[in-house]
Amino acid sequence: MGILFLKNPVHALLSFVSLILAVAGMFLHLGAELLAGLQLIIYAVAIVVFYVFVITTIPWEKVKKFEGFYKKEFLFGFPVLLVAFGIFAYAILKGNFAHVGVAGQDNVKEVGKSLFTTYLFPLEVASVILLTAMIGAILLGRKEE
Amino acid sequence: VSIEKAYILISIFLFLSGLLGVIIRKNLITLLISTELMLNGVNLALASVDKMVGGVGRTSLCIVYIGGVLLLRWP
Repeated sequence: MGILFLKNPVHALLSFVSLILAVAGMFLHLGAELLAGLQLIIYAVAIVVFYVFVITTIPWEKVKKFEGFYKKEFLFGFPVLLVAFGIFAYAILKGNFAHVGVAGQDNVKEVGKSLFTTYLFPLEVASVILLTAMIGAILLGRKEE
Repeated sequence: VSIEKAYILISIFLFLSGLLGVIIRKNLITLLISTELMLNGVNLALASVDKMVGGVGRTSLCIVYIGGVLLLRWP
């Protein structure tokens, strides 16, 4: 809620950090230890630092100019989303999920194994895409001569 | 209510809050944080469905997770 209603982006970011930690705890409780670890390493460290850098780079006057939120959109959007939540909640609480199979126990080992066997091609494609993004970022960030 | 269903409800709440943030916020930084909120909601939903149903596959879950994180940071 802090992300939605706090005016200051730094405060919103702090609220986001608490949310990240809470979601990591939920992942742990659900038995997805790898996701919890990734959540802490990627989100709580890398992405929050990235946001801090962005906030410190942008001049504060520009940030102040876009403070607050659109009231008309809020008045229309909030009830719609509340109704949507009600419908989803009803469907989930009343419905039954089919049981397909048993989830693996040692999930870090399982993920590592299947990444380098079944999902080797998608992994390689992802690495090429990342390399392209890195080269693109270097080219865009270079000063023009 | 089972724990997994409660987590799915939380994930829907997170997703809809993020959506509301994207709609109403003026600041670009908070708008981006709201998209992160949506992504977190989707990941939590996937994790709880995997726990409940079984056989969804942790690897595909991780690929969606990492893919979402990378997609949001596309230059």
